[in-house]
Amino acid sequence: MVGAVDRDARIRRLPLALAIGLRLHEAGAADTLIAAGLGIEPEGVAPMLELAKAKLARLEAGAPGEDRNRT
Amino acid sequence: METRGRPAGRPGRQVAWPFVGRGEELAWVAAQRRAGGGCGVVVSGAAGVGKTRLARELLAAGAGAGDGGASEWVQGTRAAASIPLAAFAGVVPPQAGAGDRLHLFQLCADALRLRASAGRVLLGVDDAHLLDAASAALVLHLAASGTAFVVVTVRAGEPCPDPVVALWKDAGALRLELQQLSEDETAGLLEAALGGEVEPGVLRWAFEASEGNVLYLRELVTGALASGALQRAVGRWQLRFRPHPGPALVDLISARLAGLTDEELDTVRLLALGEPLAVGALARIAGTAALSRLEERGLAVVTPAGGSAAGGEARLGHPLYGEVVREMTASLRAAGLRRRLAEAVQAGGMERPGDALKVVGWLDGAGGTAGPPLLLAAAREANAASDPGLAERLASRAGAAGGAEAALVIARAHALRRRFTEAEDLLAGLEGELASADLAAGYLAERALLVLHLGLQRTGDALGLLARARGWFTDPGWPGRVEAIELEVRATNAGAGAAGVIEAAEKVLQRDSLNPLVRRRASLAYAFSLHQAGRTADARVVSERLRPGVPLRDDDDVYALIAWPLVCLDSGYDWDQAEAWLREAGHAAARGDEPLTRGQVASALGSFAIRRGKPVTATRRLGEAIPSLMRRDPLRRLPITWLYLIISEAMHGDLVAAREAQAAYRTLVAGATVPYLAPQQAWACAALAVAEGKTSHAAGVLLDAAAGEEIPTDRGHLLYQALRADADPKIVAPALRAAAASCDAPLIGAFARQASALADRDGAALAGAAAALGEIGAWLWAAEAAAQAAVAHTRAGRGDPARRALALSGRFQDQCETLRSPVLAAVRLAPAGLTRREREIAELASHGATNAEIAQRLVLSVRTVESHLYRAMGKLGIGTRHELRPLQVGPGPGGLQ
Repeated sequence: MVGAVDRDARIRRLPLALAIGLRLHEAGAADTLIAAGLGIEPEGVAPMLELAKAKLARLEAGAPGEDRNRT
Repeated sequence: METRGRPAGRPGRQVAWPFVGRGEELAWVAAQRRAGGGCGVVVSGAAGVGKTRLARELLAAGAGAGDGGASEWVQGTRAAASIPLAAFAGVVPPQAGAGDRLHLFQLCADALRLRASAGRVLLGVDDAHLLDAASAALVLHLAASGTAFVVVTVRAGEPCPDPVVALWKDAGALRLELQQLSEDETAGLLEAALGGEVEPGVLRWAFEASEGNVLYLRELVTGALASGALQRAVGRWQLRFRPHPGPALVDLISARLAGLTDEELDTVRLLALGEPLAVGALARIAGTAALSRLEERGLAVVTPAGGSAAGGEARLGHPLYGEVVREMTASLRAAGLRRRLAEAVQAGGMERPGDALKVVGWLDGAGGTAGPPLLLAAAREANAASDPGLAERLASRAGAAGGAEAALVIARAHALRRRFTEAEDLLAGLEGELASADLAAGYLAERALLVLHLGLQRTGDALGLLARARGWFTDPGWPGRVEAIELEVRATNAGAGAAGVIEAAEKVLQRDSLNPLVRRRASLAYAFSLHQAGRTADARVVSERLRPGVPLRDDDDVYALIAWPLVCLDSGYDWDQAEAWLREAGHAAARGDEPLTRGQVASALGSFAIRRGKPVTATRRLGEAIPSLMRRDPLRRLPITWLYLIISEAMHGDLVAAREAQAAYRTLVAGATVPYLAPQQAWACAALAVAEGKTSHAAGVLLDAAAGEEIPTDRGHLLYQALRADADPKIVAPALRAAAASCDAPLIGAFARQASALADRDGAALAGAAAALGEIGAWLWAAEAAAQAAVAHTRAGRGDPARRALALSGRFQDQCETLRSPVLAAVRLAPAGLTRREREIAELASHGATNAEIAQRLVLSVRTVESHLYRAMGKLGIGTRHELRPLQVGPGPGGLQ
């Protein structure tokens, strides 16, 4: 539960296109559909997803209770 | 967040900005190269996103890694697009003729190889979509033949020469779709570029205006610095006023808008003056053909609603387009367009939130006239948008025709600005003039709950008003509506009568035909009362169901926003989830510029940070909350936020800041004791006393407050803080066990276990309490309990369990931002067998206080101090005061230094 909530929050902190691409991918969308949805070349989808995961991993590696959230 | 490039400094057009936020992209390309993948990388992205900078950094990284003997940089340009091999003019050998193209390519390849002493050439090609056909073919040849590893940039959406497309389609080059920076990455870049911390308002402005586009961000910041809008004060960058776009930015955006037809420009202007605009309203003025063309060019964005674009809303493709277009639109033309916008939105029925406010704004800007109903609707929207000044002006313009509704709106505006006396004066005059039950219900919620009860703390008057109100209408549903408001007044009245509230709320909530608004209020009252009655598990379930979405709709949502986290905080449930949810709400609020949500969220997060042992984070959060709460604070969260700031500053050892916060709090409450804040007042007072070295006084304050506290979780907290301030565990433990027995909060249960174990000197039980506190996430308190366990085990001669407990304490201490704790200080001194008074005096002396100062502080004679200190130093086996310094685990008594 905690992990899911935190992960969802972290995905929202990614650049918007990366967040959308990752959500589509995790929902089972094919690369062609993701490419069409984001208006990018199909060849760019796989690298984009890898980058999204790398950026997500960096956020997950941050301090557990805090972030640079500005409220 | 990674930072490369020049050291931080004042940004400007002549100075390269630091390279921030692209670490993953660099690492990804490097990993692909190490794996032997591809003949190059094609970086695609929108204008200004940072493609060129990334390409240059990739080349530098490749060269730095010894990846090639030379790197070359060529540039595609529109001007040279018709000249064969223009981009490679510096590479083509002089002996090359215009004959066989393949031979020419081989000569160029040889020339490049000669420049590279080893390995492949690193070739950067910027704006490859503008290359002439021959240059494009040469790039493909160099990549495909293995002569060069190419790093190519192309603008997204622009047609590329076929050889460039073949790079990623056929030759195996990697394609990297570069995106705008995220909000976090933008913050990192901004702080690196400005060389210091930026205020949340600066970040919000910069991110909203630039949307993470690096080029726009740089121009925005450069312009804001030049105009004086962006200035550094008290170590943080602040925005003094919202700056106009600078000339460089205007040029950039004008170039993007070049070549539009008159029809398209009109649509752009309408969007600039009214965005976001309902597509339906725009269609009524200008049709949708131009909008479609603008959308295809990326100059406008349509967000569908309910699966339909026609029912959605449209805005310009970038926020800066609107700013620039508004600057460039002649005033007479703008007035005409605003009038047309007002007519179109009114014709659509003004169904969207904020429509009335927009229409009045357009009519004012066009010299038109808004009638009283429109002005009142707009005033209500201004209040909802946390702009009470505007609401008051609009409602006042409605004049006598506004009647009671206008007065109610103005009273709300007063309450939003915490002018409760003025609000009450206005509202009192309205009693008896309320024509409908709906209007009267709004009136009662405003006057009884927000103004009389929460604002002026005249709870008796609030309940008296509600008693009178029961007879106002004969509608059978009316008493229930009054009762629901009364329940909420009672439920927020420091625990008085919580059992009665629970019984009444359970009756009200069983009704089938309950108004949704009443149901929500009654549910909130129920949740608070359950919590106050010690039924925290039930309160947790009820409050969790009530969590609102952001943006908040009304003040009920504000209650609902903090209900669940506060139940979790006091009881020890779900701290991680509650904090994650608050942070998410805070993010959403920051995006929507909602001071109301931001203030509540930051204040609640500060409260969590204190309990986790993170005073630095707490101080930052609470410091963020206060300005927002000063703008709007319907729940009176500001006083408690100041109290928590006293605690966090005292925990951190900053006595000056703690005393300043105390002075601010006293000014705010005019020196009065606020009943519902009694626990936090006592805690803050005690925290300050502990920081001043007066632990005995702190314990006394807390025990007195606990004796008068009816809410079991609050009583448990006060007793626990007294225990931490060195109160006798044999006295505190029975009282804490009683508090734990009268509620089901895991946190209070853990407190009671620790107190009992401490009284019994039971190391195993103390370690169990430490584990329970650690499980909840109260790191500092867990560290303290584990350290106490180590002492108990040591005294009992159990070495291994003592070492394990110390290690456990260390792990918890690692999570904390402070180790300034009277408990840890006492534990450090405990092996020597010091008495409480000896510990207190040794602690003060360790910070450099003289005997006379200690005597004055503790109201003792100097001779007594000397005597205690002599014995303490004897037990510690030290001969000089200087040797006491390593014992400075506790907070320094700032006033003595």
